Amino acid sequence: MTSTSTSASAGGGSASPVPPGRPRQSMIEIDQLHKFYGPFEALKGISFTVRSGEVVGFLGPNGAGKSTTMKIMTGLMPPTRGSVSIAGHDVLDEPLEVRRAIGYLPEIPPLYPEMTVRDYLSFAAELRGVPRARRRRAVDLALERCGLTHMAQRLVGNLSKGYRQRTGLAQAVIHEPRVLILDEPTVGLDPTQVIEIRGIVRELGEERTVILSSHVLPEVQATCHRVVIINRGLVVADGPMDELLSRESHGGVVASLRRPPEELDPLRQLTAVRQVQRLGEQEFRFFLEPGDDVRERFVAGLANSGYGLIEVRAETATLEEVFRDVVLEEVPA
Amino acid sequence: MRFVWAVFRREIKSYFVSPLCYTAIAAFLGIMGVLYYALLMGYERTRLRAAMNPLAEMPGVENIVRGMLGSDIMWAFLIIVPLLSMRMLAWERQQHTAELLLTAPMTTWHLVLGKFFGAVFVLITMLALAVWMPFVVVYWGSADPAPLLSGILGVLLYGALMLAIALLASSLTESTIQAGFLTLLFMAVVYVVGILVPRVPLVGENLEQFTPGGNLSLLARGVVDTQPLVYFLSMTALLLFLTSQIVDSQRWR
Repeated sequence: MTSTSTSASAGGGSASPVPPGRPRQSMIEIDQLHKFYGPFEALKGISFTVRSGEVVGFLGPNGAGKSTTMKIMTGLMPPTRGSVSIAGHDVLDEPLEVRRAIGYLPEIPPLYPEMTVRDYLSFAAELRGVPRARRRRAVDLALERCGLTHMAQRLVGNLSKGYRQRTGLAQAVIHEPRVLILDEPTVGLDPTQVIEIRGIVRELGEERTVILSSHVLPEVQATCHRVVIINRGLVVADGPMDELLSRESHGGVVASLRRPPEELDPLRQLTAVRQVQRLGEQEFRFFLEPGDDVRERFVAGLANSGYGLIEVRAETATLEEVFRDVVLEEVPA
Repeated sequence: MRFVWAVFRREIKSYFVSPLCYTAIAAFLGIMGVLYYALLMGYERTRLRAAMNPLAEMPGVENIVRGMLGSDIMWAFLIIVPLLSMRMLAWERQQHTAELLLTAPMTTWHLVLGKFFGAVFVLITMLALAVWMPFVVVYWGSADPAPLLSGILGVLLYGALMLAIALLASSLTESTIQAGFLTLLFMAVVYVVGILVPRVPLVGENLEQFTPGGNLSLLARGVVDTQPLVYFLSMTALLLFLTSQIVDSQRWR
């Protein structure tokens, strides 16, 4: 899958790839962004930077300000205060340059139901300034990337929801934008479609900068390198995915024992154990001493302890837990 | 310019697969047909009366042409222009395609022009389908073809101005129905003013040249003056400019 897409884009030749060896410059810079809707302050000073080639998940509960931020990024809406620059161009000063650099998939895909998929994409390519000579190839490439080739002659209005979303995605990448802005790309899709769209987004992210918003956590965990979490108009967490996950990690090991001891004390005496918690009748969480081979020594010790070890697994926090923690923590009242 | 062309081409394709467009064309042709019939019958009556009176002059067919391409066609526009306005900017917003157009690297002016010319194309199609009626009269009635030609130009310019009003109305709302009613309202105001102005004492005659209807009848007389041309073109340009300013200001809200 991955290799086909790479070779296809190389063969297409219409891409303008970032020259190799160039230092990663920042593609999206958001600085102290404020937005008021009347008296309501939707954004209260959001700042973050996305570097070239990053795939960033933009997370937050409904109403946190995700769509507002994205609309400001695309120039659909002005900020009340603060600045946004995309690919080095300020959205207020050079809107056309910004719009040339971005591909945007709004929350509701902007589709004309009366057009065929091919006609629609051809129109999108024209609007994005793809020259006539390259338009057909650009459409073919977008169709292939988004798995739409066999749907090219269908009317957009007759497509299923998943295919509509793909058409929206194809529209966003038709002109090989450097920055891809996707607003809730998998909302309302069934699980199979979600997985397909995620795959497409991951492939697209190999060549360009992507920011995708979501309130569905596994979404972001599956596709993004970095997460920016906002809540009530403020950034509450920002960092690489694994860092964020390990920061919140309990770092424990959960084990199920067929014949556990009555008390916790004997378990505390086991090799490399620092602390024990009882989770259920037969389930315990062990916190281990620091060290490289602690898990190995611990499991060996536990297996020989005679408590009837039947299952053991290491715990890592899910993004869901991180999200819950930061979102709940930062809300004053 | 290629952006205007892109929007224009898509507009046309979309107009001619939409029932709304055919409804508007059918309504226009229906009204023109009834009008034609009524004018012909009226002509026939005066002709018969004249034939019985040896002192009377035989009437010419000019009145039929003037009726079709002058004052009466305005009423047909009152129905079809609001219909067409329902597929303009409000429609793009209602089906969320406005985001596609407004995040494309073109100016709002390109978008407005593309939409406008798309609607004008539909207008031209309608006129092309109806123009045989006065043409028949002029050809077999051996009348002067000048009023016919200048009248067609007048109707085209007048219709384009009404479409510019419709485009402005449709930029003000997100609902296509509201866009239709707003267009109807704006046009009604223009019409009522057009009816009242000539009745203003002393200056009425002079003020009439500032109404669309007044300029339309100037052209229906068979002379292509610069005044109505300048009037229609500048008014249309002004409305289109206002529309693009409105759309831009919505971007900044």
